[in-house]
Amino acid sequence: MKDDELLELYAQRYNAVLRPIALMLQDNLIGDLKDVSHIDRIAARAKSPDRFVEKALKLIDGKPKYDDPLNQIQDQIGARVTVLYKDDVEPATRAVLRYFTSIEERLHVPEKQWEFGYFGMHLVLALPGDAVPKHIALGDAPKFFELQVKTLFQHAWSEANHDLEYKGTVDLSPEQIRRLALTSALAWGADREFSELYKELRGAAIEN
Amino acid sequence: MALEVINSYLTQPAKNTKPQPKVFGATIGDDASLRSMLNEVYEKSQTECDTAVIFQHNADGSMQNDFRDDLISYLNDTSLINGKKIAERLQSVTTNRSGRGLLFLMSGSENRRKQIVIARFPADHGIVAKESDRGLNVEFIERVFMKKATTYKSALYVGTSLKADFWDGHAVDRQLNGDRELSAYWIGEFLMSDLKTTGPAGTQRLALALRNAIRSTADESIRKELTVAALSLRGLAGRRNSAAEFVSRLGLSDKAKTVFREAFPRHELFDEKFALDLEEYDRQTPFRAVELDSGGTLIAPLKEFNNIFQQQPLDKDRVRFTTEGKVVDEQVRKSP
Repeated sequence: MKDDELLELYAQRYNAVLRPIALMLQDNLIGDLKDVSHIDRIAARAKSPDRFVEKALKLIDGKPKYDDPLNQIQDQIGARVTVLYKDDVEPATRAVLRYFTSIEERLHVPEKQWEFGYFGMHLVLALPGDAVPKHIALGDAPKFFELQVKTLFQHAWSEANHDLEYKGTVDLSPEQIRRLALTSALAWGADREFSELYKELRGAAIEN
Repeated sequence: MALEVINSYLTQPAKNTKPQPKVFGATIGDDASLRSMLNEVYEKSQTECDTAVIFQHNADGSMQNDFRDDLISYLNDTSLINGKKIAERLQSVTTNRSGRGLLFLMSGSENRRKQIVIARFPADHGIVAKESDRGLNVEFIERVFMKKATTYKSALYVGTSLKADFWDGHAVDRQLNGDRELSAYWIGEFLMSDLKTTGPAGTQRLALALRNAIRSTADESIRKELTVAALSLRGLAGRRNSAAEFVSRLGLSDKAKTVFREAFPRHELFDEKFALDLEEYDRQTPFRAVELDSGGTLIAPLKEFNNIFQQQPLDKDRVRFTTEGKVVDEQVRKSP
């Protein structure tokens, strides 16, 4: 399939299928997690056509990574649960897994302990029939979606990083990579401090 | 999708057995009556396999499953030797209670689409009676493999991409609600899968539909029927059934069943199986309300309703409720 054909096909799917499902999924997630504390926001979105095509055309060792991208790319619908503190990631993840079945659960951290970069909990979950509006056939809906559970600082960092990466037309210099790592380290530190402060203040409140 | 290749394997009960017994297999060739019988199993699997299942991820959380790996390897090359891995896997999780079995791997393809049915026929005893010139010849036979209605197990997987598809499928396990050992055997231990719908998700869906159905109907008798059903459902906690099966067990009338089914976000979900989760059920339907033609309404936590209000049947349809306690709050409203 040619690139423009893939773009057109996905754009149709994006409008007719994926966007309505993302909206319904978001509502379902909000309902499912209503009793979980410290959730800042829950959002679900369909992958935009240009980002889908960009991903679909990725090469590995000179060969296309996907031979059937419409079927193989599992984050056509992505959801994110943003929590206040680092310690909230685990209970929020557990609450999600009460209602959704996962085929992948991965905590993304930089490969080496002295590196800073992307942090976040990623799940690949089966899309339930409840999230598919009646006018869309279940067979047309994606079988899976990706859900991330992130702290506010992880969310902020990955959004800004993604935007810079997407806008960038040239490779980052070593200095720029170091500066990005610094922002990640600052976000990591902020998460740690807020988490510690929360525990200290909550402990003090209980004692009083 | 037409059935093309059938491989069969005899499996022994060999859970925790070392070394594992050798698995013998055979490709089913041109035997017309056997192929015809298995073709029926293959075709019926579309309706018989009624439980949506999904492969479990690896213990480290990664998107990998040993059974799926064997399945993909077999779909790549449906040879007898390749299917043996699946049969060996079945044998290694089979206890004496499930006993010997004959495993069939039945596959077909159409364009890029592939389909496979994995079916286990348990061994049984039988008696063969043959007429001969000298009369009737009656013989006991030990290894008869039958598609038994009470123990039949099968799984169906359909997909196009071997890389991305075949993560979910449908299964049938007539012992799904048996004891722990039997119910875990086929889907959990052999297929290394879970039900696609988690207990809390299915329960939440069921409870919300029930609540909406009760609200939506103007028919008093249906409302009453559904309210009784809501109470009775608690007694079915832990069972793995679909909403359709739950209401059948509760003996709902066709009218009430229709109202209930209509309250589901999609009709297909009425038939999706899950384990009824009591905690979730109570969270979703925590109160029972009874409205009397006297104008009074009684409301209490669902679990404690019968303890809080004592019921005394009077003549005909009339009933007297009694309760006692200290008034802790009182409200006057324009409307209920």
